[in-house]
Amino acid sequence: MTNLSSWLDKPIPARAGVGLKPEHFAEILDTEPDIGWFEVHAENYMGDGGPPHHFLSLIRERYPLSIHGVGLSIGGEGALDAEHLKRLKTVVDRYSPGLFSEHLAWSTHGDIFYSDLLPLPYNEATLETVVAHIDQVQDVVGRQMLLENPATYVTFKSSDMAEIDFLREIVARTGCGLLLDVNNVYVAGTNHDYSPQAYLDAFPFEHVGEIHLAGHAEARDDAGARVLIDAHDRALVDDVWALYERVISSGVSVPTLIEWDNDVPSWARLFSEAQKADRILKGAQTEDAVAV
Amino acid sequence: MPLPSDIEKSFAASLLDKDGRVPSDLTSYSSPVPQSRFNIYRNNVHVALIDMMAAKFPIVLKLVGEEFFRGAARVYIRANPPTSAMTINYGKGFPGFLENFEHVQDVPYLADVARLEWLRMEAYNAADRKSLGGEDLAAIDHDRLIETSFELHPSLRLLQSEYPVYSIWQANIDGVALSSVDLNSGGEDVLIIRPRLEVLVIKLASGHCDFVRALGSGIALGEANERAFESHEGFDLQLAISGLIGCGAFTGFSK
Repeated sequence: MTNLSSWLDKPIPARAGVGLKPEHFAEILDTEPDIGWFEVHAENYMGDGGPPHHFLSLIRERYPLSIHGVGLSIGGEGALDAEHLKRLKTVVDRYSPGLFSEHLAWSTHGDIFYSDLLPLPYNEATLETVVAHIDQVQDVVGRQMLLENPATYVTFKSSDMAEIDFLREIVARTGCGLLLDVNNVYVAGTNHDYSPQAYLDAFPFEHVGEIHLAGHAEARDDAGARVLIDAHDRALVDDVWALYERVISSGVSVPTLIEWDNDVPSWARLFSEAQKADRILKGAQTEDAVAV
Repeated sequence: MPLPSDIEKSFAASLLDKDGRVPSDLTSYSSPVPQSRFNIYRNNVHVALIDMMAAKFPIVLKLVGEEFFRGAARVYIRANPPTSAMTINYGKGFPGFLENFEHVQDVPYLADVARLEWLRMEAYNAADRKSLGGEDLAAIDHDRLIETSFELHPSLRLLQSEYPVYSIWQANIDGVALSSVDLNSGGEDVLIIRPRLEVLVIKLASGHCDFVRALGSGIALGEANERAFESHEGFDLQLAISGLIGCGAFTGFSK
């Protein structure tokens, strides 16, 4: 299923990258910063032409690229939108990305697209649906996808599997890889009162092809309990950096993305976040080299 | 245990409706009926869609103010939620919605300003094509010129308004007070095109809109000229052609 030749053709290094924003197109092309790679949301490049494709093509000539879908509704009970899947394939074919990922979430029900990553119960019925959807995506797009663990605010009474077991089973049945979002682990752990570190200790790192890092907002629920919201609108908190360092120091050395999608900062500010992740990755790689 | 389909159905139904009651299958460790947690999803959906509209209609937003715009957009998205993840196309119905929206009836030109902004978005995302220059068109045999039909740029759009829609839009782009525009000065026709990276918004002289529309439907130059001239006596073919070449409107012609 995996198109190995195109995969190796455009590898993404085990370095830090950032989510590419139109606000930064010109400065990136002017200054050609020393950054490992960029990631884009596929849905922003589904138009026929114009500036988005012009700038992304120029950046693609200079940097490795990852494509991240946000609208496929893989976790939804309904059939995938075949037209949307075709559009996704067109974007992937056009840019030949080093990595390709989507979410364990739903965003479409019936005829309506809700433009958010919505949660699903974890049980055998939903597992079978997700597996069928991922099989379909990998067949149509013609390559392996990475599935991202979600940030969630509620749980379901009808869930009878732990999220990690659900993810493991999906990987076993589909051959997809995983995108580990460390901020989502922190957010979900806080929101559902479990230890993010314990979750990470149980995570199947051998299937992780990419890591996401982002900032979150904070609120309180009706009972006064702390609720974190996956807002992507600010810098990471120290706790998430600390979790990330532990993941990296445990031997996981994969491309790491800084996501900052709302209240987008200056390029310099975003780049400095990426450099911080790069130092952590390089530090672990150096230690490995010394150990050898 | 409820069926997965029932859970998703009630979750989806509560996202955009007025009450937004938390679906019965949801829970949380801190609160068995996690209304405020469910409201995070409701809020995310509304904010994402309203922000999408605000990004596509910035001048409409400026004309009515942010608070009013967000309220109007909320009414719009509840009545016309997106039907595809291809959100580049979402918002197309907003100008028509504004035309009938009772709270903006005292701003009769608002719907046409929204149309102009929507056509700019279409031009922005349209297919790329190389425009012909004057020297390319000089290759057309003079004797056959009137029989020649033209291919227009895929980003080219036309807007005819009963209001001075171009002047209103341009005043807002320039940051000039709207009071500088005579709202009773009559209608304006606008051509929107993106020959390269930048979207151009051009006010058309009388008759030019009919002329371009005729060319766009495949009518040959001679007949398009006659049609424009019949309805607009002052129509100047030479001026129309040079204007269209200047903005990159032609991408091909019949040989």
